[in-house]
Amino acid sequence: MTQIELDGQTIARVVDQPPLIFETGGGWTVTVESALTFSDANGAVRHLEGDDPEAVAAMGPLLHGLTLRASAVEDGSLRLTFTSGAELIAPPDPDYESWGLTGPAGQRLVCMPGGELAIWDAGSTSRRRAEGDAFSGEPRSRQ
Amino acid sequence: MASIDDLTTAIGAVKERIERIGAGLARSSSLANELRDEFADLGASDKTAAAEGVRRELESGHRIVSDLDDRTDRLLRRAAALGGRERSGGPARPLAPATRRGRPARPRGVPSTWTVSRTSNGRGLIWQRPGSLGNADTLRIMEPTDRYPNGYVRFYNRYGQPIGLDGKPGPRSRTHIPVREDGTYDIPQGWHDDAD
Repeated sequence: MTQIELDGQTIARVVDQPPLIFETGGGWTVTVESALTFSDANGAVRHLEGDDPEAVAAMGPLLHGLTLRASAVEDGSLRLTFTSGAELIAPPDPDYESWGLTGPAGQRLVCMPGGELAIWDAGSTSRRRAEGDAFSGEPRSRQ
Repeated sequence: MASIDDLTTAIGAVKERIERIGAGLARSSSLANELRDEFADLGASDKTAAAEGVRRELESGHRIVSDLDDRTDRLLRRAAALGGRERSGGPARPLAPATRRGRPARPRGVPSTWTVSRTSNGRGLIWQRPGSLGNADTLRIMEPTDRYPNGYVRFYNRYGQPIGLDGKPGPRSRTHIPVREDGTYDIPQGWHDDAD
């Protein structure tokens, strides 16, 4: 299981066009392109597609303002639980990337087709200008 | 410098070793299973639990070995494709060939000012406009998958949305751009000029 340091982050913005993209006040961005399950604080469960315009538009009011209590990745599935009791689960897709995360220090996590994770750490020594000088970021993610 | 054929031979040897280890683990797991059942029939609960613990450990090891086996399969397929292109006289192009300084060369569709970073687990490369956040203004080249045997490319617009070849956001089936066997791929309409 991969732990992600999103705990305590509050969703500050939800993009109203597909794919489902939401940003936290701490500079993290979550993108979900494929199937997802969202359970609200009352236990109502919705099964949605992250690239469906109507579904994405409907998710905005449900997600905006929620605060993350825990976040983890297991077998390619992203599970975000919120302090309200709501929960979002995005499983891997066999053919396409299903979800991704980016962090404020250049951290990046992509669930590839089939569920394998592609991981970019903050402060990776390979992070350089394509033909130029190196620069660094501060490692913040915990893998 | 090792040729593709040398690499293919080396990967093949690794795969053979992995397969032997996998077969050994499968046999051991089967034996642990039998042992557990025999202990259970004898009513030896402690030994039954111990045998079950061993069986689970062996199964876990077998899953890891199976994953390694799949990865070496993919490496072999990729090496075979590259070798075929070398032998046919065509261009043998990895997704992002290295420059003389060992850094990934700037591929088609990447402006000269963009920065590059590589995954820590070797699954892809990303180029991004300096100062942009999240996925905004990025081009990402990913390693082969079952659906994309030569890899695939993702282009993101200034809003961090993946775009298709029409330059617009769209369903995921249109925003995963396949890499061709010769390493080339199409660029979305209106995408940044390489010379930017």
